[in-house]
Amino acid sequence: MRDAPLLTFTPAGIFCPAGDFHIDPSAPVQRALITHGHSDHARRGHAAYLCTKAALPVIRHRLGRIAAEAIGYGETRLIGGVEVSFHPAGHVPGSAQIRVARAGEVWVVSGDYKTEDDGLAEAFAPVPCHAFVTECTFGLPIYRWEPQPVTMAAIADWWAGNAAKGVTSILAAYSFGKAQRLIAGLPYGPILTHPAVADVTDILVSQGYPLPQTLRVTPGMTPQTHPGALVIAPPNALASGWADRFAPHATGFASGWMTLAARRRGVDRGFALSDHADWPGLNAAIRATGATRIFATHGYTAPFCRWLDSQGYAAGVVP
Amino acid sequence: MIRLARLLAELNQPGNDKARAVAGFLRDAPDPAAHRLLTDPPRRMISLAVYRTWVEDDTGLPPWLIDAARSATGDLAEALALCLPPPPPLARLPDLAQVLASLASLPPGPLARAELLALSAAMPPPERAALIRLVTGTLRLAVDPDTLLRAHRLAAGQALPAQILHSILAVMIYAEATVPPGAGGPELTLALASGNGLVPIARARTALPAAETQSLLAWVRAASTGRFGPLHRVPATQLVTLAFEAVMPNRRRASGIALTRPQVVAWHPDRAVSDAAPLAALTGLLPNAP
Repeated sequence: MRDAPLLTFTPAGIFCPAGDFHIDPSAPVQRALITHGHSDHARRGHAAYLCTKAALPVIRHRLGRIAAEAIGYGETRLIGGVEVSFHPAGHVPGSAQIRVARAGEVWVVSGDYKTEDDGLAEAFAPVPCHAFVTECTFGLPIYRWEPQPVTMAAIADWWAGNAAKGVTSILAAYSFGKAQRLIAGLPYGPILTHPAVADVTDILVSQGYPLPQTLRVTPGMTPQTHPGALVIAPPNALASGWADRFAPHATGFASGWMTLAARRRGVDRGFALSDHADWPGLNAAIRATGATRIFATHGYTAPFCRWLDSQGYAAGVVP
Repeated sequence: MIRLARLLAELNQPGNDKARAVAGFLRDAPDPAAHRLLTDPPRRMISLAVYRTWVEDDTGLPPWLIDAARSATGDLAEALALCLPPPPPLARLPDLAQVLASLASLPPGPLARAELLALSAAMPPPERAALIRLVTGTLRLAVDPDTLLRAHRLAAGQALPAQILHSILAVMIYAEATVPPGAGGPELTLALASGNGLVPIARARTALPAAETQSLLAWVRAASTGRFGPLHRVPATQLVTLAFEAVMPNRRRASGIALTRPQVVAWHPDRAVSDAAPLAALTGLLPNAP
């Protein structure tokens, strides 16, 4: 057991043999450390869950009754002789990087992260380590975000322009994280939220996150009852025609994928606002850890690893 | 450049009314050089392959990474536009007319590297991609003459025909030097090649935007070789696109045919008269043609 690597990559996901725990596993396991509550990271079926105190309420909302413990940012815990701690990732409220250390060797699993402080999620800070497992969702030089205030101003401008023409603005955004970031970052005005968004917003408000008041959409609401409104709904709600009650409307989508012209074809406006690090952010974060071994997961893994190799890292793709 | 980038995006949006998108562009960009983009491909200044090497040199990004970027976008011009550094904040975006004028003043492609890169530096990626397509000759506006005519009519607030329109390249041989009353611009007499000469096939009014109409009238007055009432004879050097709804036989005419609702929808001052269609192109459209 002493000679096994601190973290290994198995079919169920990242596994620590010494501590006998997985991180964000994709198949049911005995003990799962969870970076954040998005469904591709926090899944059903594990016997025991560990996450940050800030992440737990949304995770319970999404997974129902689970055996879960919570830990504060920066607190350390020993699991099977392995020192474990959670650190801010800046991706969504409550999101964490997970630091794992034993016998002087330190690994950090980034989970999903972004390097810009969005004023809502606990801001990313690089954690020094020898080996860094990093996402690379937007790991190509074509992905470069504008500073948040610039993108928020563009969205606000679009909203105001539509309102002046009597058109309702429908903004598609993931219901946990992106939606609340928009609510917090846009100027105050009539913001209506799809129930999936409202459910998460209510939880985060009850936790003390600073979010202005928004209105949950109920059956009677129309452009006449709420003129000039911005409606925030998950992308699948738009596809289902849920927003038709707000016609005439213009649709926007807030996502890093709106960088690509081909992805903008389905909407009236695309806004490149992402909760993942862009190319400069990824490169800076990796450099700041001081790690020499980098494992890329979740994105453009092959070209990103080849790039890291060319920059002098020992890089590998997480299988 | 914003208008051109927007037009490209709207033409690529599935389900969009292309005529409406083009009409918007015509109304927003009343510049003859801009309009000519819709009918005549601009001259290529530098190949996309060479432009790519400039981007690789300037950014230090290796070719295989540019390939990965191209895979992600599905389009090399867009990938290059995104790989170049972002524009400085508050950079003033040059106007399409200014850009076209700047391009026209540049030396041959390889010598204009610094100027071409500087021109794109102030543009955000969608406008930058449109510029790259312009200078590399890969601007595919894909506006067929039928759509173009509908767009002109929409831009002018006219009703749209329900018929399918045919369009051919014809030579202008007579023209009015002023705009008569009623819908449309000056009336031109158009001809096609037949044997060793030109045969008149139609008289048609122009449906061109105001600025281009003025340019045409100025050319007619300067080039006139004789006056016949309101008509001026002009050298047979100017090619136009003539749209019409149908061809019918007419034995009283030298050409043997008559066109229904002919309209001149484009003027091509930079194209060679040898590109004009032969008369046989029309006779092939006659009902009961073999």
